[in-house]
Amino acid sequence: MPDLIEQLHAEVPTLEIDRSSSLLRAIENDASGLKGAPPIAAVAPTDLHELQDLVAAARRIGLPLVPVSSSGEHHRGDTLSTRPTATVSMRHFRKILRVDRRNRVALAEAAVDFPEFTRAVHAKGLRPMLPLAPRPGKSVLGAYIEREPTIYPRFQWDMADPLLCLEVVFGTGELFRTGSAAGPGTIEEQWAAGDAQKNPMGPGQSDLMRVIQGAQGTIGIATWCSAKCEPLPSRETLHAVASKTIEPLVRVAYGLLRRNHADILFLANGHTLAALLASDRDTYLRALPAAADWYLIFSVSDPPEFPEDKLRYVWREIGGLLAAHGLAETATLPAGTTDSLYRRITRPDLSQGLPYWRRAGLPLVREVAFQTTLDRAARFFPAVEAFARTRWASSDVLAYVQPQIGGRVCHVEFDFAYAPGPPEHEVEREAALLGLARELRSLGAFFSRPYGPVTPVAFEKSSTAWIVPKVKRMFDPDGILSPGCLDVPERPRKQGGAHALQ
Amino acid sequence: MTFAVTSASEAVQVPRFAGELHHRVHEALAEIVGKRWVETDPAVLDTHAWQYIAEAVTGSHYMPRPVAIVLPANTAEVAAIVRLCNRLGIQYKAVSTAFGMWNAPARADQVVQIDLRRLDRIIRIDRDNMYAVIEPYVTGNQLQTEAMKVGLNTHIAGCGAQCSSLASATSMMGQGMDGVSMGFSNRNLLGFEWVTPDGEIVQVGSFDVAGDDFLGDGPGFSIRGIIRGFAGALGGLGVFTRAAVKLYPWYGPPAFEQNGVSPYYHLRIPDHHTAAVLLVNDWRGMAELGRRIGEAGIADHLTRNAPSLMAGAVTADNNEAVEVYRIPMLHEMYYNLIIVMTALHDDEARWRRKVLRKILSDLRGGMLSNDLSLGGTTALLGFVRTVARRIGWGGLLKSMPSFLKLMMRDAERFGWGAVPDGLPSMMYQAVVRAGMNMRGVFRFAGTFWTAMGSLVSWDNAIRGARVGAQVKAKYIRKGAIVDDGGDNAWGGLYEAGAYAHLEELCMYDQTDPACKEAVTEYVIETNLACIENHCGDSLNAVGPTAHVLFSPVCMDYDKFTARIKAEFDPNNSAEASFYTDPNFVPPEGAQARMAAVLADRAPVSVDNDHIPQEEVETRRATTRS
Repeated sequence: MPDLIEQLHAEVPTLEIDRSSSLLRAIENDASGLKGAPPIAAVAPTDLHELQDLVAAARRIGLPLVPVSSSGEHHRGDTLSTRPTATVSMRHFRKILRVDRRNRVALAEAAVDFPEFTRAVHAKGLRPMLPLAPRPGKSVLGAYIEREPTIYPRFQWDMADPLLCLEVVFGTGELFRTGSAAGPGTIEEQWAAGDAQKNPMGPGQSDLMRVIQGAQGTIGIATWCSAKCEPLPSRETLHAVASKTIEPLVRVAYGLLRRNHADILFLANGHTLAALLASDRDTYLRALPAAADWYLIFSVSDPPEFPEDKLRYVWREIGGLLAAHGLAETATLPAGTTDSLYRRITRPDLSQGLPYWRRAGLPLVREVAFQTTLDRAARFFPAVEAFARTRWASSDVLAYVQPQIGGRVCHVEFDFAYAPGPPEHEVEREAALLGLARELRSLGAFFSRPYGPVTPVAFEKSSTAWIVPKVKRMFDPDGILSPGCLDVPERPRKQGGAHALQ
Repeated sequence: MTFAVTSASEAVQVPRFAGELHHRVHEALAEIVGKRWVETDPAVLDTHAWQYIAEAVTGSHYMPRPVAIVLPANTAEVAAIVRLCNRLGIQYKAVSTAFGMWNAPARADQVVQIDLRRLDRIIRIDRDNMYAVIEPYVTGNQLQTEAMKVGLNTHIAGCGAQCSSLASATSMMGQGMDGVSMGFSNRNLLGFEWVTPDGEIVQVGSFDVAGDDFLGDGPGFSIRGIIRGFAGALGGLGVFTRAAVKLYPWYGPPAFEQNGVSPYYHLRIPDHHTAAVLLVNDWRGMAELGRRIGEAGIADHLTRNAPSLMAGAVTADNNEAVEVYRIPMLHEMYYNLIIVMTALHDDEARWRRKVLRKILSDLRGGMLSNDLSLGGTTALLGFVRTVARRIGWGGLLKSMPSFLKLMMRDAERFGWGAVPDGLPSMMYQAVVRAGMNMRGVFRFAGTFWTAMGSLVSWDNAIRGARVGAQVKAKYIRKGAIVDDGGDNAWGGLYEAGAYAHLEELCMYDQTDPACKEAVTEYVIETNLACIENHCGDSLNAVGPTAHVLFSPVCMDYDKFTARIKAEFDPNNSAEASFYTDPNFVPPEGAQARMAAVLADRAPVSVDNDHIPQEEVETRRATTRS
């Protein structure tokens, strides 16, 4: 394999190539505890042309590539590979190309992280659509291209939001821009004509953005994206409601979502809130005894015009909604207040020193996440509780329920933080997690973003599984991009098809 | 015409029907669905061939005849028909409510038309999670009627409430007057069932594991990106037999109070609802009006109708329409948006109205609405002043007799009680029920075509409207199309103003060869103007002929669409005349027609004076950096 890197150097002499063993060891593992094949180099193109040259050269010499936009430790195994590869670090793509207040949109290159993005859009009177307290170093494009849920269901019109347009180099080496960014005209000519890369659809009669998104880097390498932002309100207040069970909170959430009264809205168990607010493991553990089982977190913002007129009826409705379900607001949260939580989840630029909440102060975490509807969410909890008690030997499970697309669907996530153990435990742990995923699927969990070992579980019953390798081949015929990700085997078609003609 | 197709590859791949094969197809189809549900009678075939703008392909009102029409009862039968066509090496094209030439084959006697009208169920409406699962023949009207009973509403595309909601979401386009609160059809699609071009049944999204279609994205990337873009495959990539579409809150009654006799109806605007014609002074005012209403989140329906279109929509015959259009006050109401705001209670209605009045006041505009409060009356005065700025107080006075006449007519038809909100009520019906979309465009000359209409920012959509009107003026001067004032841009904003569209309508006589020829050139010329002025990829950018123009200036997109078609439909079984064809050969005479257009271009001069200057400066500075 090393000679491939020499060949690559010969093909793209200006390309930055790093083969230092410490770096490669760091790339080989991530904080999920999963291990990949050792990478053979990390390469860092400096601009679009060099990236295109890199992909073209990689095709010629058969060098697999794993694109990585975020910095810091990864957590899902999606940057690990099943075979030796070159990691493509996009770290030189860190410009914010434009923030457009009038059209509520910002264009950011692949390596721009949330703190930087937040600062830039705030400066123009906008707010970014944020995932729940993204980890340090998480790329904006990286989160959006993976369909990570954001905490703002009200502003999510489509599962693809807030991602709008993309510039991408496909595995074929072809350059493409999606949506209205495709043209006519250059991006600058479009700006001059008043356009703003806000339409994510097309161009033409296919939506390649949707094919790149969720593909875990197997279709192309994105260089920049345009992302939906919303006006920064003059005042936004965060509120919490606690409950022994999730069901009444779900009913309140439905009420708020239906009326578009809340901007931020999610549900979380006490462990999750404690992890979000605690500065370390000890604080987290100390906060747990006082934590309620479940919380509904929501924010209410001032509208730009006549806020007092609107808030009067909004709060009257919210009060009625809470009273109808025997609930009341709570001001105290485990390890903090609603004010500290608000700062934690809306200002990644001010939270950079805090540990990544999903790990709850431990070194590693495994995430099990899927989509369902809010009214179905509770049906999965008994299985997870039983699993935690009997197979994980800890009830220390973070649960997070994030309504999406205005509440029509929700992301349900369980995070199992843990400390590394002996190797034999790893095998056991993997088997147990896989068993849990299967059980959840049998209960109706839709793993729409499957990573690593969960991938086969997600596709086992899927009638669209055969489409995955077919589409990957169209855009990456040599299979050089992110080998091992979305690895769905080719299989004979069930019925009909071209073979029927023979 | 733009959509006309002649494909060398298809001519080779698809054999013309011979008598024996014809018989085999008929027999085989009957085996699948039963004899009763296969039709080959030419008279019946022609009922399917009669299509809006068929003249673009054939020169007549009829598209080419299909070889047979087959009416499957369920998905299994659809898949069996598709597999049969693959086996026999013939093509098929599915239709549901079938509005427009795209629904018919482009060549005679080679295509089986799959008519999906027996798949007509609303499978379920999920009130809490706000979506409906529907079959292809469910219309916007049917879905809306049922959704409103449980406090929900649905996006209805601009083609009207008589069209299939599923077809719009999976296969067509999806602009609409409710876009500001209910989006665009592409983005309302959740999970769906797809009979792939070679006959495999797949459930896209959550159905396989959850038994429900609440989500259509994943596992992994989204197959929604394969089956459609800003437009769908228009029948060129298999058949869609079930889909979940998003629904939205409805703060109105389960049914409307309506009286009158067709075609004259009066609908009582429900409590707490507002319907209004908003008026500002120029394009710059329009740009601000749309932007601010979108951002304020107060509108449920928001649409721009030029005066001529408004005259058509609110009247029932051409004499009446012309009479209304000639009223000086209405004739000059160019800078308008029609808005409907719903509300759950009076407090909410008051807040929405107050915000709207503030925006209008800031822009020195006004509104004519059903709001008869003091605030509403003040806004009405603003409306009158805005009109007067354009036509003078003399023009306003001249308008009064005609207005009084209209009021008298309303009183005769519906009683004096209906007079105060006569126009708002008409607008409300037209917008909320989407039942009058077509009478504003077909009636004047027989048919219409449309141009520009890209999905872009509101600022850029206005730019497109201004460009389109200048191109159209040339054809009006030639006497080839209806003189509708030139600017007849219809459209609106989507998703709280995130993006927008304005399409330039053009009404013409499809029985007159000179008109048909001129409209062909109009479409070509507006496509060119769209490209040259960076107004996005026009809504005419569907089908191989348009891709020849747009694909090279939009990242060669058709190359990728063609790759999808080849991969999923190796036998080219799904008729794709309006989708993609890698071996497309422009029709005979296309070059000469293009040369004619290029030799006589309409002068177009457009700047961005509708965008506040400071915004333009910011953009230039950003661009330079």
